[in-house]
Amino acid sequence: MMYFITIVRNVILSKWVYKFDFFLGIMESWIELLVHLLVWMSLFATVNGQVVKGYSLSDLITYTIVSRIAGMIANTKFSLNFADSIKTGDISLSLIVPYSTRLIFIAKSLGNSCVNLLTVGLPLLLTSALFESYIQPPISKIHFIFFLISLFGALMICITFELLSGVLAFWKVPGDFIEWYFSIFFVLLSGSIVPLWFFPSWLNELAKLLPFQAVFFIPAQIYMGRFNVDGIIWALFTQLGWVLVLFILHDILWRRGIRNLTILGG
Amino acid sequence: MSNFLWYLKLYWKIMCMNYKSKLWYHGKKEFFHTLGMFLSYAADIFVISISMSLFNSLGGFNFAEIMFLFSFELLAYSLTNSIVWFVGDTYNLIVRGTLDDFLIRPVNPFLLMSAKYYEIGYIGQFAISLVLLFLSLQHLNLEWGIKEWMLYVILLINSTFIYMGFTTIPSFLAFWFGNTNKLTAIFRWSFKRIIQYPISIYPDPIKVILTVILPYGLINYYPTLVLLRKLESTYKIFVVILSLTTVGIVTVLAIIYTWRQGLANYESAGG
Amino acid sequence: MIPIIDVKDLCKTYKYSKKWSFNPFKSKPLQRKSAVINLTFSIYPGEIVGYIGPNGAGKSTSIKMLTGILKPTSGTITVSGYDPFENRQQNAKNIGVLFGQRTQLWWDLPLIDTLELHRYMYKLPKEEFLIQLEWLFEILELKKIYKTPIRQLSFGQRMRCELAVTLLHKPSILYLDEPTIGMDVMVKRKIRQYLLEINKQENVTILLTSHDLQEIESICNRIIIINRGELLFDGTVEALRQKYMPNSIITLKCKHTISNKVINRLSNFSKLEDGYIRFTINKHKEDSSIISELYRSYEVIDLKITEPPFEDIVQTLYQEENKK
Repeated sequence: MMYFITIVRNVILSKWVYKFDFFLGIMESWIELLVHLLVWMSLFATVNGQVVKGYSLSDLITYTIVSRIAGMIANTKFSLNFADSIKTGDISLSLIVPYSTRLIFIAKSLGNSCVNLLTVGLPLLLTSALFESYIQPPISKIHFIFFLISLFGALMICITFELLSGVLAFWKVPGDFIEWYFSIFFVLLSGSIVPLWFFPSWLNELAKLLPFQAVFFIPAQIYMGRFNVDGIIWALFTQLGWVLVLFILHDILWRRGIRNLTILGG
Repeated sequence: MSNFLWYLKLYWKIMCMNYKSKLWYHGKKEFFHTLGMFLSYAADIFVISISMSLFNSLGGFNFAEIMFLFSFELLAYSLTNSIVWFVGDTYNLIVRGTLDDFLIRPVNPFLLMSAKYYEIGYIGQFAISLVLLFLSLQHLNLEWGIKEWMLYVILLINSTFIYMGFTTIPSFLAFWFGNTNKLTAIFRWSFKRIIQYPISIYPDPIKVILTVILPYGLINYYPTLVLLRKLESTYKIFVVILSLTTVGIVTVLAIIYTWRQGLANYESAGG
Repeated sequence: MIPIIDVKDLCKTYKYSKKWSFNPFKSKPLQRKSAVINLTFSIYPGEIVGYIGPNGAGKSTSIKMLTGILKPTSGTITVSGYDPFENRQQNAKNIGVLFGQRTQLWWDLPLIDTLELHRYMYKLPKEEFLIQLEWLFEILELKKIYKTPIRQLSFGQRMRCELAVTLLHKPSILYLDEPTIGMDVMVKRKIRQYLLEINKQENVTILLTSHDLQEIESICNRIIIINRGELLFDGTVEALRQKYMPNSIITLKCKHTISNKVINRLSNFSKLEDGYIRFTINKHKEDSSIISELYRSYEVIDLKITEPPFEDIVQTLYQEENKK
């Protein structure tokens, strides 16, 4: 266990060495967040603060901030490293180490999440203070607890997704393209820019079939109390379901890939 | 004049070799790369269209005007990045010394690097922006003659110069500070997000910063105001065009100056 | 005669700071490292100069200043009448540079593509270009590989391609940094032959850096030794020998045993197997007469005279300098 904690610590420290870059990373995410919020403010200004499709400016701002919290924790990207290590054959070396290879990668991604807590979290905190009047508090304590659970669910979905896209490297699928292509759809369909409320109905239906919306949209919905109790349970089960599906898919491919590796040689 | 043509032909030759080199071994990768760029911008535009369908206007611009603004930025962006793609490799060039090979040739090293690193993938975005341009003009019922097109080209070239300044100068700081990748990334990508929307949506202090201190607003916002006739008086239009071109020329001079100073400070790899 | 390369009091100092701070725009205490200190020498057209020194001596730095890549901190350089840094492009037309660890070839394309590009870049007339290609393909044995992408070639093959590109535009000055690394003996010989030939026929000036001291000895008529940024030696190979290791090694066998009195007169005497003895003499002093004495009195049946290897001489020089 200590081994994995050390890995997490090392990831954080290695990023801290480049202090200036770190600071720039904070600037980067802050600019993104501000632009996002200001765009919503400007859009709603044109309708004189009324509601659009039943949603108010306050809803949108709360949504943006809460979904960012989800993104901050869940958005780990280790599939590239994973795929690279498979491509170069380094993976065979790590199989010798007496720790689960995949857990090591997961530990690294958790390290990244911790770094994100600073680079994304700090701007979030500051900006929330600025926009305080617009942000809605959680509906109730229970909702908040479920929200935290769904954050964990979001993290698990991201991790299993990364595992799945990384393992495709066994079949010579270039890791960075999978990463990139999926992130294009991810960004759109997860509701990270525009909440699913505003999607045309056909897109809404499509998004509901995919795991992406379970990362940003579901946690935000739970926080804002847009689900009743049934809805929350259903949403959490959706998350769980996706975790299982993605993991099983990944595991099958992983076992097959490893078997090929050890039979044929790296 | 013949020297200029000779340089043009040299640039073209190197670009072709560059392209041949990429296709020989990396053909499939190139295709997916270009396709990926295309898709990501399609997604961006899609998001904007969703928002616009619900809200009608953003910062005083309707959907067609937003598309015009967006396409103008995208054109300047594509032109800039295809030409100065080498700034992404300044760590190898300046810190590890691969710049040496460009310095021992009887031609301008800046042009050599530009040609050798020319990024063809931006063709996709270039195409999208042209489509958006024509669609937006159509929706706005604007018929443009020679005069308008000439103005468009002049302002676009100018914006490209300014964009180039923001892209190259932070990367040239590597001559003094070593690794400036992250810094350059902020100027290239983060600020781009800011100006994809009209800067009128931002609070006044930010608007001022984007006009005077970090003049990103001059890249697409002000040219759009001019080209879509959003300024009331001819006097204002004249002043804006004049300031835009002045800033463009000053930026080019700044780029040249920084480059020259950087070379005088170049340390290459040890030994 | 006017030197083609004239270097006076050349200095290059690097500034760097040891600590990286949070804000790179704040000034920090700067350390200075002198890479090249007051270097002065002149090279005349047609000379083949060996430029040697241990790693980190300042060789690459000084060559980069000569080729116009780096700006000197102080001092002057004149190459063919121009300052190479201020007139970089003009200077580049007549120089060929080969850096050991760098490549000027396009990795994914065959040699011929790079050559075609350089033909246009250096404005070579087509006729001349084709003749030169014939020459180069012959000497460097490139006929089978000039259409193969560089990435598929072996290291030795790649080095030959690099050389071809460097020599294509018939520069009047060549800066070669480890040009024959990774090549087999036959090709090395051919290249040395080619270099000597172009030097004789076209009066090409060559500045050669190599850790293969035998190679330096075989083609260079002049040696410049540099260490820790400073010039240690500038002169011919002979002069270097004379100064640091003027003794030749004599290995001989006599029919009769030599008397102890004679043995005491021999410097660095040692007995070898099979009746052989070894000692050193200084050719330029009187002790060479000892050999004729041995011939007369003891009937020498086998005699070998060797010069100390060049490497030993250079090593002695480094050691002496280190003592200072």
